[in-house]
Amino acid sequence: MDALALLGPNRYAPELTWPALRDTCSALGVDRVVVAPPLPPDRDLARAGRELVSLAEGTADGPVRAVPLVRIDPWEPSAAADAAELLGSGARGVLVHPWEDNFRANDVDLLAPLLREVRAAGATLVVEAGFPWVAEPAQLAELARRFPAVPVVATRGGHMNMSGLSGGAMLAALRRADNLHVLTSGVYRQDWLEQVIGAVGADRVAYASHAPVFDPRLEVLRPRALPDQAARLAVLAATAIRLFEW
Amino acid sequence: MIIDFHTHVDEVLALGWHLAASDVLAQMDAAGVDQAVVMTITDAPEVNEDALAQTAATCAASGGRLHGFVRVHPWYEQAPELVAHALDDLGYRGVKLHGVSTLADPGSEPVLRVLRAAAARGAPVLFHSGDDPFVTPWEIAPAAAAVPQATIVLAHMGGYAHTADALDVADEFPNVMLDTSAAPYPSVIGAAVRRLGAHRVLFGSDAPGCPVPLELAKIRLAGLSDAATALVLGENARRLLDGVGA
Repeated sequence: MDALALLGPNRYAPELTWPALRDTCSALGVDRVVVAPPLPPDRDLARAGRELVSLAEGTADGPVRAVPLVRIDPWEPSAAADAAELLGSGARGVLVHPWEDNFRANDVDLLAPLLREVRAAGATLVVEAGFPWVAEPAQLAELARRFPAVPVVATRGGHMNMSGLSGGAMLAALRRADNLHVLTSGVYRQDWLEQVIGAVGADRVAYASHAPVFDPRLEVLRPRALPDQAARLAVLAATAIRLFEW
Repeated sequence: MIIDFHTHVDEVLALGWHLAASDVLAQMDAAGVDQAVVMTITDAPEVNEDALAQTAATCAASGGRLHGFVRVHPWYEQAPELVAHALDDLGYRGVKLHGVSTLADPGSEPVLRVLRAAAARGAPVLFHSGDDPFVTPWEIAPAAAAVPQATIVLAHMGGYAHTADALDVADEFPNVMLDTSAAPYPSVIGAAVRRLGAHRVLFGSDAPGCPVPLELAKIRLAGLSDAATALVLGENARRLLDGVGA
């Protein structure tokens, strides 16, 4: 199971279409993929979310099944209402993007109305993470700590730092908040993944390609290279199933 | 022949780091890599006063498979002499500079005198490069401009967010090359080859933290021609290494 791909028209990048994603998943042996809309050119996230939920319904009997998330901008006055509607329509969680939508991941006051809806639905919150100043490891831990009943999932290993400086901070964040999880997307240090699994467990880590930002053909190699079979199974499927297919 | 242009061997007891040459060689063997450039994690003469001799001994014992790059801290007055000693007397084949660990401005005189010492011996200088202060591509560019006779290699192809800058710098400065180690995006490797020419890109892994087999797979995913692949995987590195002291 691929725990995140960005599907649909994208304001900032070329569009990833469902046929292209489906074919890539099939080629890689992935039969379920969690999909979220990127920011569309017209910025209408609610419409993009409705379309994605509808698309996902149509994949139920196909060789690759899409599991929809919706993306919410917490600054929108309708943020909580949109989340409630779309979670009630079949979305399995909410994606937020602190960098693109200009808010701190741990802005509790801003996020509280949205997180109430996520919690009420028993859903999962996914945070585009690793961006400086707004989605750093310590901030992610604080967000998760303030909403302990909500599974919080950080993309990109929760950190993006080619100097290896934030890996320790993200591990500390995972230790601090039991409901905080990470996706493997874009993590460049295989030893860090193994360290995290050893420290907090494979059930806190899920494979994600984060297509089209990262290349699924490369990203899938990382969890498949994990030496422990139980960890591989957890990272490649079990963790994501628990987070998104409740 | 495949040459990995970026691996690490070091023993830092204070930090609990044990990066053994045997680990690097084992990864190389698993991936079918013939030779590798090795460097420490620490910056001579800091932390480990025996680092130069130890790495030299490691390389000497490798049967020609490992080539040392001397990693120095430019702020120390003896830095140019350390570089000269390493290249002239201990068999080193290049220099590594890491702006994050040294806080040395790439365009500053302490760094430039190290570059001049290396360039006088035909030795390439590998800069850690990515998204942090002192290591972004355009911060390293002044060094390339100031010492045009030095061959400068930007590691990691600009990291997560500076890939465009890395390509721009390499395009503007003909003495700049890029290494692929830990680079998150295979597509950027292809873009670099198309824009700069395959002779300007070097395969590297950042092993042992980034496993050589996974990093090598990235090159295979970059969509390069056979001829370009051969250059990237080994011919470029061979050219640089053979040019030292020539």
